[in-house]
Amino acid sequence: MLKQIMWILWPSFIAAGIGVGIIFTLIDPMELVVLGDRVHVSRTAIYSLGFFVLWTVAAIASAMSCFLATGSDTFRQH
Amino acid sequence: MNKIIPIIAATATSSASFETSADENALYEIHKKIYPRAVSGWFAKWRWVLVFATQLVYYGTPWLMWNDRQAVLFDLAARKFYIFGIVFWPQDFIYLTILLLISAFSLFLFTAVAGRLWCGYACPQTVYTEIFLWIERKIEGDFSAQKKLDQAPVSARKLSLKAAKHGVWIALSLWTGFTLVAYFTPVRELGSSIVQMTISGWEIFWILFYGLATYGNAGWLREQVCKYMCPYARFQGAMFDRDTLVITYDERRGEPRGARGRKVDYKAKGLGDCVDCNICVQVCPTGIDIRDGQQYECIGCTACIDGCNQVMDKMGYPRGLIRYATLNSVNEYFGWHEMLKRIFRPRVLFYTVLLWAIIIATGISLWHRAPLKVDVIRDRGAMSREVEGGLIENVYRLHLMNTQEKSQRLAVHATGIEGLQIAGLALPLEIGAAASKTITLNVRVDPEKLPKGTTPIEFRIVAVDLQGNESPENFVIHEKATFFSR
Repeated sequence: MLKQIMWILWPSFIAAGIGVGIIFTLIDPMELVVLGDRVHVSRTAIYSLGFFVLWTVAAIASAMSCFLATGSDTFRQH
Repeated sequence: MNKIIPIIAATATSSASFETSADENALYEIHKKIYPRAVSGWFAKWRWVLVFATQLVYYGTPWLMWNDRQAVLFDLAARKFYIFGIVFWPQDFIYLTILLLISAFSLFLFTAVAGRLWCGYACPQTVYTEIFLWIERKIEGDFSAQKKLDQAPVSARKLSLKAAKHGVWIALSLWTGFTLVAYFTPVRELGSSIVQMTISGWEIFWILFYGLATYGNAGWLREQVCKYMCPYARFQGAMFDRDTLVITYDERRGEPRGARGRKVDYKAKGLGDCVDCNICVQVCPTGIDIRDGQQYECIGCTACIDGCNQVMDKMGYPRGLIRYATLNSVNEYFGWHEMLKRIFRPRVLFYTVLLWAIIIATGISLWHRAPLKVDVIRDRGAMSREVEGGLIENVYRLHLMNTQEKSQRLAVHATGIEGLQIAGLALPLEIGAAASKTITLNVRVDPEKLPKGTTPIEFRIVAVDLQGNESPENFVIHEKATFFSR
């Protein structure tokens, strides 16, 4: 179980780090318009929140990969 | 292509077959805690030198000052990176990419020459594990004392030792987290904001987050990070070849292994040099037996070399039963000379040339970096309009970024159409050290002189002195734009 958690959280952590780096280098969070309104929090908050949103999304992808990969092994054996 | 595929009736699988089989359970063995035995020797000494060096850089860098500011500061809030004398803007993203390229090629080069040098000596995972193990040894005693303590029933002594160990680990982890955040928020500001309890929520959060990561990875997960989380451990094989220096057990010399007395003529008994003392296994932080051959779990920490050499000394055998060697050298009995000669093989030369080419090109590009970055953006509103005096006006936004750490005086001129002028612009413009500025340019021209449609124009940005005169040694930047007629 611990291994699966590591396999899901770690690659998604790296992916989120790269993603947040690229996105916020190209886009200044202060110029973001979210749901029709300028954001009213600090850049640090946007970077941090952006990182966690990306991490969650990437973790979902990792979890699905993990699930599908283990599943296929189970079927191949039977 | 008339292949007949036989169809065999199969009974429906019961739900039981979806449960994990015994085979699968074997793949996911229960993790056993590894108690690595402490080791001393030539390589262990070097590993500690590297621990001190890397941590001196990591913990020390935020305290360095440069031009009255923190020397290395990734000021995310202001979107500026300061690295000693250079200020990087988001527009300098390319340098970050280059830095990653340089790191990757350095890793390839080191790996091709001497295997997992990075892992054994410089990787934060190894370095912090080393520090945490040292703390654990100082508090709980050596590996056998630690094992005994873990197996002992709960007692006041056990609880206090455990509390002391975790307390020191957590304190060090928090300091590590604080240092990380100090790369993004000036360390003195951060320190005083903690003392005065005015620290922002996100800063506390990241200190705790990185602190927890350090504590978890170096205190609990340890070798499992290398075994299950590290991608480098898996693809290192692609960079290895038979001339890569790796930690090798000299099987021909060592086997058949066996216990024997010091004075015994073991060769007459048909034994090899390995006394089967298991020291190499006991010191291994990933819990492998190097005598089974090269394994992906081996992080190249060289603890087994030091351990084995000590035993060889005691036995009066030559050192190096386990040593840095290439597969070719062990199999074909190369000497050091031949082994070193083979370092200069095409793969290594290719990585070296590429690495230096990138480093030199980057150095040149940084040296010749423009002291000012300029962007001209057309106003998103009206394309053109008529203003007083019957002139046609186009509006532009001029975005200036001073990449130098001293303020600059600038003049801006527009050229490309006869009589083109910038209205209401007070010259010279003053732009502070490492600052950015956006200026609105109302560019006007007599419609008589203006061709139909679009006309390319050019802004000329030039550095000037106090009197507004252009000094010849200063820079001139040209930015292209388009002028619309009515």
